[in-house]
Amino acid sequence: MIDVQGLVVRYPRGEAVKGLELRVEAGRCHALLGRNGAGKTSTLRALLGLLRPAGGSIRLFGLDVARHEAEVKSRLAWVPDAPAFQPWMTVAETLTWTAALRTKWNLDVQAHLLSRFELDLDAPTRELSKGQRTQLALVCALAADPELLVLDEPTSGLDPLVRRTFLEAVIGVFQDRDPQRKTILVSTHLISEFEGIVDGFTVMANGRAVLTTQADEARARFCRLRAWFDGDAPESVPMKTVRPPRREGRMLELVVDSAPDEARSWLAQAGAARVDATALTIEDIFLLAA
Amino acid sequence: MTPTLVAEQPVRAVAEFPTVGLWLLALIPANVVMLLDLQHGVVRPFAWLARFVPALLLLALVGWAQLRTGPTAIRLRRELRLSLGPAMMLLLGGGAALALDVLSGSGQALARAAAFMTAIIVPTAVVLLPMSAERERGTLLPLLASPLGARAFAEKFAVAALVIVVSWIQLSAAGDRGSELWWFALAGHALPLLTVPTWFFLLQNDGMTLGYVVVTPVLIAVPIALLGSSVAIGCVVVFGFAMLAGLPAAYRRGAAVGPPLWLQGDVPGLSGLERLAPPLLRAALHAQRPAVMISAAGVAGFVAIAAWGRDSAVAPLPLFIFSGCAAMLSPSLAFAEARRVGTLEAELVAQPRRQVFARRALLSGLTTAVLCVALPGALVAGVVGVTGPMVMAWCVAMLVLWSVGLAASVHQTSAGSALVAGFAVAGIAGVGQLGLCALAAWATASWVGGDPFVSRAFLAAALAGGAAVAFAVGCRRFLAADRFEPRIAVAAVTISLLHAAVLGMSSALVGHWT
Repeated sequence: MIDVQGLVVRYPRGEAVKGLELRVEAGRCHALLGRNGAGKTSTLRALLGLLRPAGGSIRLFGLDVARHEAEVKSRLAWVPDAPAFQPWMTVAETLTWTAALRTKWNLDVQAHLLSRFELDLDAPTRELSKGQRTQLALVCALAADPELLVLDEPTSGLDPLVRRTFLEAVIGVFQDRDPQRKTILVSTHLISEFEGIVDGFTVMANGRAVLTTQADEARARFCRLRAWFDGDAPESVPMKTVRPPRREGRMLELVVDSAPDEARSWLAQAGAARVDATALTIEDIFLLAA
Repeated sequence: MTPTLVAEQPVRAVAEFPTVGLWLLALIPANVVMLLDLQHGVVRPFAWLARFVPALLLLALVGWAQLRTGPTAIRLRRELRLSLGPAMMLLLGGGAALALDVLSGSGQALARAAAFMTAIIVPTAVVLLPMSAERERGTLLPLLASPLGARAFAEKFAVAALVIVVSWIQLSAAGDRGSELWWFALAGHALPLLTVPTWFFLLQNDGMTLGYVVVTPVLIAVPIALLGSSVAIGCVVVFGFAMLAGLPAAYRRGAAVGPPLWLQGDVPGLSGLERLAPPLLRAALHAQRPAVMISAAGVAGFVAIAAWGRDSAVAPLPLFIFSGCAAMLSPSLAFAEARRVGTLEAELVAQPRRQVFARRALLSGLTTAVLCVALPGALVAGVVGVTGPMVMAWCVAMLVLWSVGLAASVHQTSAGSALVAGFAVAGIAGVGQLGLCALAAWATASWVGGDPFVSRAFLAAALAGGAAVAFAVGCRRFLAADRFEPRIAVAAVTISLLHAAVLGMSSALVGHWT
């Protein structure tokens, strides 16, 4: 579905994306994570054809984005972080205008989402709140019946209730309709909200992918071990840890990558009275990797 | 109270050199005048000093702000950076009128008319754009809310005033003192100083203040055309000082973020004609409204002057200025303003770039053809009875402005910045092409013997070639989704200048053989 190889996006003052590799299968929800300036938005804009890459290739649906622009664009939709509409248009006029840009338009989806979000068709877009603007942008995106939905920081600045209805709509109306075919690529800072939604994620730092993994695999791979000792915790740890071991009195905390059983057995040998093992959340993994 | 700096800021002379270096261009016009005088065997050191010293004062301010590290210098450094673009347009636009004295006949007249147009329109931009930039970047409210906000605005205004005074001192050397064009230029320099800051705080809208840049020439041209220079200047001065008196109240209103005037009424929706169009065309037509309004204002001004029966030679000038602004604004609205609002990206995500470009460029081109060429051309030909070559020159001028507007606006993010960039490029490119065409004719004539011959048709062909290159550059930049293409810019400049030089040589040879 998404196949990015060696993507380079260059600005006059330097490279924002430096040889990014990214592959996402159809029917998956993939998150792009990274700190501000990591290159997420530049990557998305290059994918959408809004920026010309300085190097590398981008293929969506098996097609070269530059060569098959019309076909690629007819199969994707985008919800930006700050949706923009003509201030003089009403909600109904905005939907009519957006539909005129698309090759497909699903009126049932439009009607369903409008009633779900309780958007007034006659309201001028300049009078909509930030949450309502995001909801309208989502209606515009989902009614186009895309195969790939690109979300760029979609829920930042929204209150928790609007965030929840937004995510429910994305999953319920978009992905559940045809789970084998509908793909989501989301860039977000609110990682915890997408914790149970994303199938995989890529952590970007300085324009490069520093970690790409499936969410389940990551949870199984990264493990936090907390061990309590009767005496002082051991000074040295004879194994590789993701970050330096942390000691608090008799407690020793290790974060390990891919060998939790080995670490657990070493802790038992070292005299640990109790060992707790917990899987890391995606947010924890992001904080380690970014 | 003067704020205390936590740490001394290091002097960044090397890093800031490009900006500082560009201010050195302010010295060019005074020295060009001196060189032209020397070429004619005239030595006027005091006249040179009178023009040179104000520019030197401006440069002294730039140097002081660059080298000092106090809070005032830091603020001034920022203001000078914000003012650089429009200031250089004004100073060099006026200077071009002096430098192009070497042109012969119609080329000289056209260059001088362009310089006076610059003198009428650009001073408003010198005052307005640094303030408008604050709003566009979201720094206006923090500035107004800061304890030194009023002082910062006073410094901003002082920088603009200094640039305008220097420009006027240099420009007043060109043109005949006391002529109508000289009065236009004087009013064009004086009125923005007196009125623009008040309008800025009253309107609180960049589109409206941008519109004011265009309305200013009417405020100047109509009274002068209707009432004569002295009475009109009296009216302009009274109006200007009345506006200046309202500045403190307008500033307080702006600082309190009261409801702006433009928001007190409802934002206009679709007109009947727009409703008949399909959705995509409807939105594109609606976006062209400011260009339509500017064009309509020009037509109204022209009809008023013509009906009053004043000097028929002056009557088309406001119409030309308004049509030129509309021609430049139309592609800016189709691309740059749509990018600022965000609707252009929504279209680009849904449709191929080629399709989006074709639709927007075609609609903007048709709007320009109707509003800036067909309608005013018919009016001027019918009322004033101008001849065919003048109508052709009018068409070429509009074509150049539209093409350059398109090339400049495709990657800009507001109509205001696109308009300024477009005027700057059009001014430099137009003067460069006309100058090279005339120089090539002069050089060829010197070589083969005989007089240089540059007819309007050759000059128009040179400009039309430039317009075609500008359109190709705009098209290429948009379709390639790349705003940084130095190779394309170099190629475009080379092609258009070569084209102008070839036309100049050809015209001289035609003159020689006939």
